[in-house]
Amino acid sequence: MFVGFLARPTQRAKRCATSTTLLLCALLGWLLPPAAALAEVTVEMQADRTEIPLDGQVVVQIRVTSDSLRGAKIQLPDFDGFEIMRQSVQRPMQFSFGLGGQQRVQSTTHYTFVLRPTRAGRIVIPPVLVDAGQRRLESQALAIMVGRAGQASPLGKPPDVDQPDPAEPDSTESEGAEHGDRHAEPTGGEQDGDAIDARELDPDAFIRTVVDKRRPHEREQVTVTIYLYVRERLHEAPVVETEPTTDGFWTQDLQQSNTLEQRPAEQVGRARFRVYVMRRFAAFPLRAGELTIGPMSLTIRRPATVFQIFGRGNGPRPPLKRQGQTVTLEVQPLPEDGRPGGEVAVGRYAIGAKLDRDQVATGDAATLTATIRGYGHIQSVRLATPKIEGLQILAPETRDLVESPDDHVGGTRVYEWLVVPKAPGTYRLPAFVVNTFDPVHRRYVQVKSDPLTLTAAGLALATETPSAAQEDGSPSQPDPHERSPKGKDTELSWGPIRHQSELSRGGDPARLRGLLPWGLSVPPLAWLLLVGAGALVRAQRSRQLGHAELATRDAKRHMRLAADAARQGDGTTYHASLSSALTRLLEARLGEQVGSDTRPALRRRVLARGMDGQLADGVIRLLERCDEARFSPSSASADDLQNRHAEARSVFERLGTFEPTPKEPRT
Amino acid sequence: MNRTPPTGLVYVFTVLTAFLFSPAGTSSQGGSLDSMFERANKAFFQGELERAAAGYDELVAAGVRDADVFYNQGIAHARLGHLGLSILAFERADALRPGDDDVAKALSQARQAIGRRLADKHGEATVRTRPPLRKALVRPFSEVTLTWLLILLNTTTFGALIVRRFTHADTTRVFLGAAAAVTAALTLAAALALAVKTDLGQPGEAALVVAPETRLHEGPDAHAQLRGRVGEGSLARLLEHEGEWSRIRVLGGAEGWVPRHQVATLNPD
Repeated sequence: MFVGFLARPTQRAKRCATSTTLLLCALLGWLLPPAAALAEVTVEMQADRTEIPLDGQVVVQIRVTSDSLRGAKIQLPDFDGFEIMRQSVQRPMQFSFGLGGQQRVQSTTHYTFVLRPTRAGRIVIPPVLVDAGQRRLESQALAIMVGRAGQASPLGKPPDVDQPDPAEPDSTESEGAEHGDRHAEPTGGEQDGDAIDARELDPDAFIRTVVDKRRPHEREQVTVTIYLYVRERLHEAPVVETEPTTDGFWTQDLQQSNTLEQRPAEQVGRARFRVYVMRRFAAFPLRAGELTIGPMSLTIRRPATVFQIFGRGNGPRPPLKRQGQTVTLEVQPLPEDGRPGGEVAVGRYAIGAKLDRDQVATGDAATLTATIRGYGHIQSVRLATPKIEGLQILAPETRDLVESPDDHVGGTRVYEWLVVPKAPGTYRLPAFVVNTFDPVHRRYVQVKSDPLTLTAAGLALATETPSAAQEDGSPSQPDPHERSPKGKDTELSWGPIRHQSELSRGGDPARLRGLLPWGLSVPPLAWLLLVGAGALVRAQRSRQLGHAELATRDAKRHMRLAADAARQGDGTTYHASLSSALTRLLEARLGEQVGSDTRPALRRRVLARGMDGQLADGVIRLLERCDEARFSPSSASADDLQNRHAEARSVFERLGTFEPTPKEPRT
Repeated sequence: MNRTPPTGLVYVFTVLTAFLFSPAGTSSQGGSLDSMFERANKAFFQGELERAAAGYDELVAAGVRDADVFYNQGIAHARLGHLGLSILAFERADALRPGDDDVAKALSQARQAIGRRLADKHGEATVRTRPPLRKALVRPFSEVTLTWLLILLNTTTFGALIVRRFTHADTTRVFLGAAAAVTAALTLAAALALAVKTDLGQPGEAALVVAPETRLHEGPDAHAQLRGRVGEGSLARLLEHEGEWSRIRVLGGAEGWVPRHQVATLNPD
């Protein structure tokens, strides 16, 4: 019975064993930490400042945290544009104990670099790359603005704006949120008086929209940050279904990396949420009145849990769909008090102008460059093309460099004009003036460049009519017929023109190129065709004719060559051809190879095959004579050779009629 | 008695009729081109350079590919100060009739004038007035000449080989073999020269910048980022067109987009 139980388990025992195995697997899967792919790895890179002078220093700190025992491969960025003054690395280990007494290890690697820039301008430090098994993470990139030595900042001092830190929400507001109580707080409240914080609490996930100003002035920057709060760890980036609408705004993205930016977890009510930054952008309202920023909606996919293995609902759990709040801004018009006439740029700007040279020849061009830099909607700042009597100023070319250090949008706008004096003299280019409104100090400021002077020398242009600069500000392409300065070129002694011409329309190389492939391919093809045809004919002939016939023809051909050589007195060629002719004819008549026979052996062979002795002696004598002439050439006249050839021809003809007896088989 | 006209007479009559009424037989086009040329020359002598240049431009547009017309066109544009256009015309004349001293002198003069103009503007300028060595070696031969030479040498090479197959005399066979080897070597040389002349293997088409201080943009748009400037008369390779913009590559490898009318191919077709 016991043996039988072991040998053939019952169905109940089978089910029991299967269930136990599954249960153990499930428990192991639940208790064991997730695989390396799910290990918690964070990487962060930050600098102590984003604007430094050329002779300054910046401290960059990189922190990589991993709860994997295996650690992660860290690829540090190439600090191109910087000189590393000092660097240090720290690897403190943190131990903690997880559920079931399982030990967890959290390792942190902390790099510190002290960098000094080697050039001015905007230098971007690429992100740190971390390879943690199946996951690859990267930090955000850093952009450092480097000004000239001794200069505080290439853009000047940033505006003194008190930016509320949206990553640290007001705890008092969060206290009302109860875990598991959906819609516990219907709408978000306001913070810091003028800021907007809109959210709809949810126990699993919710979207929070933070705007730093509720009542901005028109064209003043507001910073919009949209956060995602989730209870669970995100296994993949949420799918954004609809982006927030920004009708009536000019926007500039402030996120410097495409990766999902994670902020420190926050306690909302009794629950702890993970916080991700979904969007962060600067918005410039383009008109006064109420303007809205539409809600963002997204979908969070969730993988299956271990409990679903035993349940009926195998597969991933239903995704979470969430939508943010609509935010309305009350955009204020610029104050009328003290407002200057004309266009007003909002922001803090400085303007400079320069000429690439202050002395030019009349009709030659100088380049006038005006540079506006500062904070604000830089692309909305416009400069009018100056109009100066005696100067032709072409439509400008503009270049923009938009940057957002410390989330303050600004940059540089460069205008470039070509200025052509039409007559000699000294021209004064007035200062460029831009009326601005400083939203921080709420006052109007007029910024202006220094006036410039341009001196033109030489003769006035006689017939040139200036082309008006395009008023729409679009850069025009210079017309060579109008812009080419005359004068010096016309004064050169160009040769006289030609009175007569064939007015030929031919000789076009393009047409001849069409002929070239034919001209190159036809001759080789004809040659190949000829060679191939010859080979074919020979093969055909050899199939039709027997060996004896071919040998006879070959013998006759050599006989003709011998006759030609005899006429020309060429003894060497004659004897060689005659020897070949006789040998080939003998082979044709006898039907066997004789080339390797000695002369006595050949004589015996032909006698054995029925040749009369006189003919055999004649053949052997001729062959011996040819051998002698070949190995000891002597001078023979053409007449001598022709006499010899008459004798040889007689022997050749007799040999041609010789009918040999059948060859005796070898015993 | 039934008389039929002689067959030969009918043939001659037919040929004459066909010749007289065929387009080639009419002289209206030739006369029109002649008068256009004369008008342009007359305008030049009267000092109406714009009209003269326009007249030569019309002749080229009408399909005239004559070195003398290109030369006159270059002189007219040079005297107007359109040095880029004048260099273009001189290059075309030089391509059709290499070795023309007047053309070579005018071309060199135009390039030097551009150099002076740039030097006056920027303080200094470097302008290439001589072609590279490989181009200078093939300069005495036009593309047409080299093409015909290549075809002739190739035909001679294989003709000698074909005749050699039908020849029995050893001396003649040796001579034909040697001749084929020599002409084969010359064929290769001619092919190499033609390849250099036509810039075989180079992308795009040979072109010339005809506008002063042409701006190279990153894209086919006036607002696109500026990559640099190209001097008037600079040789370039025209890579492609997009709308009113052309993508070119200048000597040194810089590429960019320029307005289509600021660059012209050396081949007028």
